Amino acid sequence: MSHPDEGVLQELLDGELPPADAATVRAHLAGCVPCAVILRDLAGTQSEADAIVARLPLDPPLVRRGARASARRPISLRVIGLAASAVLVAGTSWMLLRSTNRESYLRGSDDSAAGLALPMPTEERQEVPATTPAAPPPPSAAARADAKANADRSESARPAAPQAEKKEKDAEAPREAEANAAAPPAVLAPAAAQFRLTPSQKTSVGMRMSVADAETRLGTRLRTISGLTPVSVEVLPVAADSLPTVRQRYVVSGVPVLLVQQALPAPRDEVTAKARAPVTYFEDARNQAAGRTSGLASVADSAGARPAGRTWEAWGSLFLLEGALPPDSIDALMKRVK
Amino acid sequence: MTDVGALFEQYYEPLVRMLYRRTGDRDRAEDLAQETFARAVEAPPYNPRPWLFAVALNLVREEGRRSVRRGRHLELIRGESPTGTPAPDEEYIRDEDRSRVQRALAELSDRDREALLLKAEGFNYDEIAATLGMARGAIGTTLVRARRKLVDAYREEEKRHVAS
Repeated sequence: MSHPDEGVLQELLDGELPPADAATVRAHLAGCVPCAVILRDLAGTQSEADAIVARLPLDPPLVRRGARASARRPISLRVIGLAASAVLVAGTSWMLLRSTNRESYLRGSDDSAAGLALPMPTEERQEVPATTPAAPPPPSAAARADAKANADRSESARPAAPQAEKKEKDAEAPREAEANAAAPPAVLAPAAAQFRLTPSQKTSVGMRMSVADAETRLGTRLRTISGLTPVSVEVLPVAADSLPTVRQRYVVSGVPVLLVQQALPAPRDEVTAKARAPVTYFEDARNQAAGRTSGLASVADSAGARPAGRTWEAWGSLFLLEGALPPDSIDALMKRVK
Repeated sequence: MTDVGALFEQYYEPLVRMLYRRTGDRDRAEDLAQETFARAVEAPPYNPRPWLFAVALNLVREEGRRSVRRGRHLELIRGESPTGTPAPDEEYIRDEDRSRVQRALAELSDRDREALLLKAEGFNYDEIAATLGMARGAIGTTLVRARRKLVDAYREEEKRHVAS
């Protein structure tokens, strides 16, 4: 054979050549010193380059980073999003999310991949009323100092961090309660100074726009939290063929709150039938396991019967609160969504 | 059926790591990863790994273009703030080294850098091709070029460091 090019030699090194091709190339290498030299050179460059990339580790590790991380990062687990099409099936322990525009993302894919379901353990929901009246413990001095240090972006003073982290790493799912005990306790009113959402440091992946523009885009009135001015109003996603989604960021008592509203086109019948879901609230189990104390609440309602042939106004709100708000304050916030 | 929670467990950390290496900014990396998962909820991906990484990289590029348009100068290369409590000297040396790696990575073209970072996350050639919209046959050469460039750029950075 002719001399294999470097790309092929690299494929050989990476084990990406089909076996028959690999055998041919190896046979060639056995009798061709220049190619063998190139291969050795490539292998050397490969290990050197990989070592350089590895010098950028992710530390401290993300998952199970725990209390300190959640104090620093205003938003954590936004996986359970898209409230407008979030449908709570009453009486079951599943929260179903269905996207009506997945075709634009899933060109050529199997139609059976339609919905997705997130497990929502029944006990999780039963716990909500139980925890609601319980007064949160006062913040520990260390947690407070930690949060303040983070808010100030001062990277030097973090006394509680290594300990909390270690604890998180040890915390397995059955020991959730223990992990929560280590998390910063719930504070609503006096927490104003603990979070500072500085727009310059926040990534905005959406287009910022005025409320009026957002309403034009949505084709309906924008729901807002009464008495509060959003820090930003963004339209998401950017793709032209996607459903218009407007995301508002608020800071409520120093806690970042995200309110997502999406204009749905005529949904499928089964979605319509189930869309009159009550206000619901649950703590995300994964967040709890990670020692985070985010609250997540969603609403989906519809204005009764859907007028045929017209855009169906469904709306939903996704709240993601971090900073250990007690569940009742999320309910209170939900009621302020006008 | 796709369980986004399971996807999150599996891919959030590698995604943030790749984004951190790509942008040099841990906070942005986490924001972009969260945005990516928010979109995964909206449109459950069929082939999650390439989908998630492709969306994340698109967000990086979109963001870059927008900031260029606005004339905002993005601080692409920045030493990650120390997060543990190592000795000051050790911390300084580590930060210096990370900045050198980031500067070296910034020398690569977007495509070369992304191919390299995906490979570092254990992507095979098919997945890299799917994520970056490249022909599979071009991956080998791309990786060779990317690695050479990175090694050269890093050595240059080291030389500069020794000289200064």
